[in-house]
Amino acid sequence: MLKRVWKRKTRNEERSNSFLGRTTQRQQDRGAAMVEMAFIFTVLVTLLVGVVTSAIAFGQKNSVENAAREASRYAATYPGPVDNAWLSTVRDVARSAAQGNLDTGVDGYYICVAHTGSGQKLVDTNVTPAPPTPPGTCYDDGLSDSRVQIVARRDTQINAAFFSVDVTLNAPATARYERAE
Amino acid sequence: MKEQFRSDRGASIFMLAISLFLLIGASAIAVDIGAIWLDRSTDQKVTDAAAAVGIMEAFATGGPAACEQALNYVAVNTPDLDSVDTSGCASAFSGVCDDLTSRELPPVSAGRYEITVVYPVVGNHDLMTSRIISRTPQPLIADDGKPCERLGVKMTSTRSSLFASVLGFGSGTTTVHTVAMRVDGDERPPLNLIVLDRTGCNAISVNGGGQIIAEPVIDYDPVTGNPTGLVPGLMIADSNGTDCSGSNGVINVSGAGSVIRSDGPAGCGLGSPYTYSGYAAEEGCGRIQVLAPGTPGCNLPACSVSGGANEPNPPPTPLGSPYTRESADHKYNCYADYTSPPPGTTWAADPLTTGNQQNIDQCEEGTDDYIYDLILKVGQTGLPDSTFKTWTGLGHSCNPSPPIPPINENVVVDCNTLQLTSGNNVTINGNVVFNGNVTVNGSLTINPPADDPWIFFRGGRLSKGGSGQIAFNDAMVYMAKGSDIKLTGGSGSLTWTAPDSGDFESLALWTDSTASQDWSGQAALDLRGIFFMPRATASYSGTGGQIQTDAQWLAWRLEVGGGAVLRIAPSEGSLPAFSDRTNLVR
Repeated sequence: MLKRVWKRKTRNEERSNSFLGRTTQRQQDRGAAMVEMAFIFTVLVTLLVGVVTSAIAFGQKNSVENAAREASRYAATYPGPVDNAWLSTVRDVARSAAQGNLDTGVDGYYICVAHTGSGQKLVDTNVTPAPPTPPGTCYDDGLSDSRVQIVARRDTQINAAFFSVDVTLNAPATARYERAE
Repeated sequence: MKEQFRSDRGASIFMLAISLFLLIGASAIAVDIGAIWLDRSTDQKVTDAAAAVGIMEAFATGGPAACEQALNYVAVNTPDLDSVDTSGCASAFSGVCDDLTSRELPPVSAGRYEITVVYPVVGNHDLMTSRIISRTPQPLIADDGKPCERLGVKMTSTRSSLFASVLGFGSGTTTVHTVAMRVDGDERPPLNLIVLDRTGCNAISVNGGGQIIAEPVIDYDPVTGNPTGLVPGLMIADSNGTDCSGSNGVINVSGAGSVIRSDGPAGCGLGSPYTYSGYAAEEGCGRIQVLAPGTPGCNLPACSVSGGANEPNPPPTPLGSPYTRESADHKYNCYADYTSPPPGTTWAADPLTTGNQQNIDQCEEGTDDYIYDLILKVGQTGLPDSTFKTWTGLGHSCNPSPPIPPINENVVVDCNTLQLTSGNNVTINGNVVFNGNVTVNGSLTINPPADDPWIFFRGGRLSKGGSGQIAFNDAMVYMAKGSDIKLTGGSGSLTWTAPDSGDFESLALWTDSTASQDWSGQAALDLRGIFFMPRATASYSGTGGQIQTDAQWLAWRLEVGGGAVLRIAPSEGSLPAFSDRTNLVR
């Protein structure tokens, strides 16, 4: 009972003081708490957005890696002759395995399929100009046998509320070609 | 009261701090765990490629090379690795693979990775049972193959925690593995020529105006057997070129007028068109493949040109994986265990019928081992069976004088050297076993029985003078270790044709000799069938312009010079080769 009376009295005093343009210690504490909370929430939201966008980037990278793995294994055992149709089929396998991460609307998407035995290569990208590649290969791997190379790549952003980082998710894969040539 | 209020306020801040800490901590751990799962996905891509190439290399060149190539593929496919130390491979996998003994490369550290190669992978190995990743053990099934058909790669990656280290989780590890099994791949079209030297330089060598020409190959309908057209001729050098140094390559063309060429169906625009068996053909429209690096194109160590010669036409291209002699072994000599010589023989200081002391893969005991059976039947001495008579026992001299009437018996020629001088013609209608040398300046004709068509050289030399004439009709000639062929070119003739049916169908020559086999152009030359010289250098010389057809050559090495023209065109029934393929079984 005494406690309720004291609280009522205190609130009335606060209303009165506020009306008169004066602030109390409690009001000052509350303002400080608001500032602190704003600061904490800023940091918190920054971290949470960063974590969420990082997780999304991890997921995208995982899909791109999976696309490179699936396509390289598929290409390694996919019968020839190696021509544009062959290369396009392998590219489609990569795109399908990427679950939307290598679709034509994706920022910086890049798919390279190369068959070093025949020197045939396909590059599909919306990056202009397309990044240069060595003749007959997607990248220089230092190997000499007849093999297939896949590069699956896309761009993404890791955001942290007030700033962002552009990241290129790159997944190369090399596998020996196992079919008759 | 005031103190109570202050106490409450501290509690809420404390709870907020704890909540934030847990919230951020949980999110951070989620990011770190996500990174580890990403490692797992990436590493699986790496081990898949490494194990697949490893088991193919194991069949082609053995365990050490398999290990090295697997580790090379690990390095290529791992974004943050430049190289992996392969120095332990030679000792870890030396010698012949044994199905009962699992061998393992001690873990190799590279960056934040640790890699292990296992070959063979025995049935109860952790990689096969999946115990290594704490999964439910998987039972073996027939499709898992034999231990020496399997190679495993295990990869453990350690990732330092980005956020979770604040909570005491400094790093996380993940382990993945792949076990690949080798299986027969596609049956390739017949090849014209293959040289099997694993590492050698000048494995196909042409000089002095010589020519090697792989002619177009006639393709046949598999159902009707009717010819349907041409496929490109195929010439293969199975050497990885590691013995090459200086200016010589695995394929070497030197001297003006020297030619290496592979022809095929018209349309490539690389040479002159011509008609081949009624079909439009063209020079340079075939294929020349080399295992060694340096292709496409003629570059060291795969290829070299000097002395005004032209580059091979078409330019050599890479050979994906070694061809090996496997196709011949499987067709004529499929036998599970060749690490010991055939009983009753002493030839085999090294195994008689194997190239590299390796068993012939995927051959069950006692199936299609026709060469082995023939060796057991004939042996090194004496009469193979009661149907045979000795040459001298028939009353013939080792330097006979004409005339000798046709001999209709199975004969063991028990001469150190059988000399057939000019004008001295011998015809034998039966199986013949030569214990020693045969020198032909006259004429030697052998017609073995159609149901058992073989001629056997226990050792010694088959030689022919320039005007001599030899005819081995519808016969498979087996030449044991120590035998050799020295055929001088000239006005004489050489007819050597393979049986067209039976166990030795299409096989004209099988030699286990390591000596140089010297062939040369003849005024009349008819070679038909498969000439299998997997451990010998075949040397072809003599006058130009002489043509042979319907022959397929498989030799350790091939040298052509002295203006000789060797035209090679495999006939129907010639050996195809099988590509390697892999199944990922774990």
